[in-house]
Amino acid sequence: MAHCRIVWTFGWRALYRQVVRSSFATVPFYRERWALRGRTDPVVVAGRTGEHGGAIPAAALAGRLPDLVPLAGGSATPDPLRGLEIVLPQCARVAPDTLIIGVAPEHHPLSVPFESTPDEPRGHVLAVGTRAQLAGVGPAVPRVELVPFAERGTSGLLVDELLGVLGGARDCGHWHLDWPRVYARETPLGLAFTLLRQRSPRLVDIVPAGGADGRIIRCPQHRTPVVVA
Amino acid sequence: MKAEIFDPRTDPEPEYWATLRATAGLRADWAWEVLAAQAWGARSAQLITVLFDGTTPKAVVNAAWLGAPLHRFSFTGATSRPWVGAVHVRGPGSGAVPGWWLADDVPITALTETYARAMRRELGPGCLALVLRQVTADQAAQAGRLKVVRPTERIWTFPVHEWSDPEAWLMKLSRSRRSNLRGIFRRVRENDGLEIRIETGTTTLDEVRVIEAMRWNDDKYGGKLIPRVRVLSGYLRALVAQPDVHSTSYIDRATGDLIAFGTALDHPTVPIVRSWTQRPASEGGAKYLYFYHLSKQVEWAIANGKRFVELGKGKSEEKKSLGAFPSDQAALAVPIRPW
Repeated sequence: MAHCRIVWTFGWRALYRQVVRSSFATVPFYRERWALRGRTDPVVVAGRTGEHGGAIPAAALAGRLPDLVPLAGGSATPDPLRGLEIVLPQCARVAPDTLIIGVAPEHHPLSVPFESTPDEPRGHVLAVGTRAQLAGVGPAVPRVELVPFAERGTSGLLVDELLGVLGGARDCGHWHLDWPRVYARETPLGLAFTLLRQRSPRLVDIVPAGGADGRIIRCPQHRTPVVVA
Repeated sequence: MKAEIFDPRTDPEPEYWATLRATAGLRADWAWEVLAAQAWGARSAQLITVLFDGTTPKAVVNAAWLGAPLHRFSFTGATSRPWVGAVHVRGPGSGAVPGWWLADDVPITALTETYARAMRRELGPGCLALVLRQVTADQAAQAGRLKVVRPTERIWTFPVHEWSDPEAWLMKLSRSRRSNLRGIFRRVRENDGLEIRIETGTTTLDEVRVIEAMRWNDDKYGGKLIPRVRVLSGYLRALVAQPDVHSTSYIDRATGDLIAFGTALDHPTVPIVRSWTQRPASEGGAKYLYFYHLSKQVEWAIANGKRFVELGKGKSEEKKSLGAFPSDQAALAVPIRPW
C-alpha cells in the first residue's frame, strides 16, 4: 500500500503535468487553445488562465480530432472501449473461461454478440452492454452495464465515446477511476478527464458529453482515487 | 541606431505599430495578432526587431532564432532559451517574401551590422550567424567581405501594370494557354455545382475545414527529415479576419465540401497571392481551379490599378505560361562576431 500512496501523492499528478506539458508542446489543438486563451493547474503561459480553467467540453472537439494528433503523427480515431480489459475484471468476476455476452475486451477468449446469445448458457456467463442492449438478456444472467457519466447509478462502468472506459463501481460501492491511466481534475465545468497513457489522439482535460459533476477523493478501502457526488 | 526587440507571443503590440505598418507597406501577415498566432505555432522563437534613428522607426525585421536544441516535432517552448545557433530572417509565415523593411535612406548593411549586433546582444554569444532570405544580387554585393551567397528558388510576379484590361493580358499569352483559359472560364461559368465565395476580412470562415485542406498540401510538399509544421487554426482565423485579406473558397454545392481555398494579401501596389490548397484529384479536386484562381487575381489586380502581383515560389511552368516573370533570389549568410 505504501507504493499506492507514493504514486497517488506524487506520480499521478506528475504524470498529468508531464502530459499537459507535452501536449502544449506538440499537439496543435492544445497549443492554440492554451497559448491564446490560457489554462490553470498548471498554468502554461504566465498570466493566461482561460475559460473553465482550461477544461474542454467534448462538444468543442467535434470535427477537431485531426488536431489532437501530435506533430510526430499518430491515429485520429478514439477508441470508445479503451481501458475495458483493465476496468472490467476489477468490477466483475471475469475468468478466462467466462463467456462474455455483448461487449468483450479485445483478447478475451470466449465472447458472443448479443444477437447470438445461447438460450441456456452453461458455465460462468457475464453480459456487458448499455442498458438498451442488456434489456434483451435473461434476468438470471449477471451483468455489467455501460453507463455515461451523467447517468450513473450505483453499479456499472463509466463510458464515453471519446475517452473510452473511465472507471467502474467496485465491491466497495465507490466509482473507481481507471487509475493511474485516467486523471481527473475538478474544474468549473465539472470533472475533466485526461488519458495519461494515450499518445494519439491526445485527450487532455476533456469534460465528457452530458457533463460530469463530482469530486475526487481517495477510496478508504483501496486507497486509489474515486468519484463521489 | 537603437533596437527594440519583441517576442510577439507575450509582448503587447507597440503603440506605433499600426502607423509603422502603413508607412512600411507591410501586409496583413504583419498585423500583431497574426504575428502572435504565427509565433505560437512555430518550431523556433520568432522575434520582431524595430531599429530606431532617434524616435523614428527606420527598419523592421522578422526573424526566427534557429538555436539548438531545436525539435522536429514540437513547437518552441514558452521559455526555451537556445544557446547556440543562427538568426534566420524571413517573412512571417512565408519564406517567399523578404522578412524586413528598410526606410529609403537605410542601406542593407544596417541589417548585417546594426541588426546583427543587436541580436548578438539579445541572444548571447551563441548567436553565430545571420541568414537573410530573398536577397537580390545588388543587396548581396553591398554586404561586407565575409559572406556566403547562394542562389535560391526564383519567385514569380505578374507585371499587372503592363496590361490595360484582362483581354490585353490574355492576348499576351500563348495561343494554347489562351484557349485553355477561355475553356476553363466557360467550364466554371457553366458548372452550377461549384460555389465560389470571396470574402474580405471575414470572421465567419470555417477555418477548421481549411486547415484540414491544408494538410493535403503539407503531406505533399513536406520533407521527410523536416516535415511541415501544422498551421494552427487560430493563425488562419486571425489572418483572414484582417481587413486587407481576401479569401476565396471553392465549395461543392451538392455536398458542402471545400474543394479549394486561397488567400491574397492586399497592398496599395503589390498584393501577394499567398496560400493555395486544393483537394487531390482522387477526392474531387480539379486542377483547372488553380489557373482559374490566378486569372481572377489578375483580373482583380487590373481592375484595382495594382502594379504587380507576387506569386511566390514554385509551379514555374504554370506561372510562366500565365505571363508571370521570374526574379532571381539569393540567401545571404554573414557571421556575427561573438565579442
